[in-house]
Amino acid sequence: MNRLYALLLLFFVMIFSNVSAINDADTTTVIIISVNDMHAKIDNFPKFKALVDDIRQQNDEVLVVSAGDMFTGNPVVDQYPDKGYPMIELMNTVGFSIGAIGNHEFDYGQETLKKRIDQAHFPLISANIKSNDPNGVNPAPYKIISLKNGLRIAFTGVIQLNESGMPDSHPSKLQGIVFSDGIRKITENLHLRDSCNIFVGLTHLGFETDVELAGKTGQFDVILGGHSHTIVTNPVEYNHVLVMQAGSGLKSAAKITLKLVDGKVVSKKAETLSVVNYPRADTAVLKMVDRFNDNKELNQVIGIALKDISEKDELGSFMTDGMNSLEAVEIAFQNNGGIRIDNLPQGNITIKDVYKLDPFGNEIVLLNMSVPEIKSLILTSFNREKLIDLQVSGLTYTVLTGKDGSGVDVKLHMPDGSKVDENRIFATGLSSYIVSSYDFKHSDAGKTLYTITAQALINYIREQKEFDYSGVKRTFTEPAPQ
Amino acid sequence: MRVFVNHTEINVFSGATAADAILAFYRLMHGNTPDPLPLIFDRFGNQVERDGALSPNNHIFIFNPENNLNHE
Repeated sequence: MNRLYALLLLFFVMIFSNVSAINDADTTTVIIISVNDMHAKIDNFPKFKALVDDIRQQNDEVLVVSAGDMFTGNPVVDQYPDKGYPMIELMNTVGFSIGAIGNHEFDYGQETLKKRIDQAHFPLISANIKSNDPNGVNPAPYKIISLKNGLRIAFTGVIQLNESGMPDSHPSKLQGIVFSDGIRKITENLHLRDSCNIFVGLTHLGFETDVELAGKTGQFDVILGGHSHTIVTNPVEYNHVLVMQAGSGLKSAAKITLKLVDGKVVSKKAETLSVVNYPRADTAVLKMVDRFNDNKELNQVIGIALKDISEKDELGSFMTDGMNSLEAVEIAFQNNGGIRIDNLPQGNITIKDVYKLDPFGNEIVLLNMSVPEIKSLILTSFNREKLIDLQVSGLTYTVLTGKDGSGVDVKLHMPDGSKVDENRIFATGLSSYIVSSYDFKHSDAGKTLYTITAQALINYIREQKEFDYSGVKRTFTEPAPQ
Repeated sequence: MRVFVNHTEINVFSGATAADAILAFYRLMHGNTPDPLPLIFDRFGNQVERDGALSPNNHIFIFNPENNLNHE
């Protein structure tokens, strides 16, 4: 009997130890940490590095990915001598595995983007970007990452296109590149589903389009996206595809936990982690960020004010002349509320001075406006407070006021004092704030020039070098004739 | 570019952000624009940041769209 028990015991031990061995061999957990639209916000990198390191301490297989728009949005990085350099250096230090190219990756120009791609220790992919120049920006459409245990993870990337069939960046930065329809191009890579264990769409399309992509294909395990700055707090699968996005500015990150048995994904879980509130920061990365923030370039002298540039008339004329220096713009307007200092003193002008004057990051929007539409804009702005509100370049104007002080009509003049042709259409540059907030007639909805007003002013100062705006005044009021 | 705020069609400039569309919505409704702007959501119930990029025909909301969830 004892011998029978011993045999039975041996039998069960053999069976269970064998099952356990199978589970150990074939069950794997893969973690993907995804961020998107970091927009050069480097200040959260020390906490992000600590968060990633802590997850790596607990898991063998951790990948860190970016779903596009690493650049644009922080003068420390955007005005760095080698534009964008700090972002890639920090991403290298964190140990990013892969990234998708977003529309703002083109903002510094193609030559700079190529340098940043070369600097990165991780691949940057996109399936719908192809340069006519073989030495141009030609990212791989997909990349397969093999883990130590042999599992293969395929990533395919894609960039959004606007109604003009181009990514949202300045057209001059996109010359020589053919952009194809993103959803069509990404479906050409669906064969990766069969040759890899995990299939990831790393997209820069916006959440709604990501859901559309999931609905059309159903092949991805997960789509990690960007562009719309969506914070997914309640992750949901669409057509069996988990779709995630994590806001912007490295304030949060998406953590995807994939469990595989026999090389097949058997469960998917997604959560949004707060980076901002993470309790620990990496001290080495903190030192790097401090060093980058001490950007000497921002103190670089780019021009000289021969006399003080003071008050709204002079400062507003200065700012709108900057907007008007863009080739596409004939006249430009800036609202007084967007002029944030009272005086730019005589002497050196630095990049930091420009950002103090104009800190909002509003883009210049181009509208083709008729003379009645321009008058409507001026009257709308004036009648808010019965005061001049818009500064101008390329024109001067006089608001004619009624007995109660309201504006009733506008006289426009060219800079030389001649009258404006009433039938003329003006290519008008407005800050995006004016276009969105002011109620004025305009048949042209407009389009952004993908240049912020501060950058236009920096370029203008660099070109013109010396400025004297003393006594410049382009806006007037007078009583309307009775 | 055509987008929708609370199911109302809004025509905004190409390249507009979620905040641009919300400001245009208040202007269209002749309402006072609150400061700060209310939270913005998409059609799936996710929050959208103010500076999030919009694409043509996107739908956003400035009330909690729980009754409009559309998990297609």
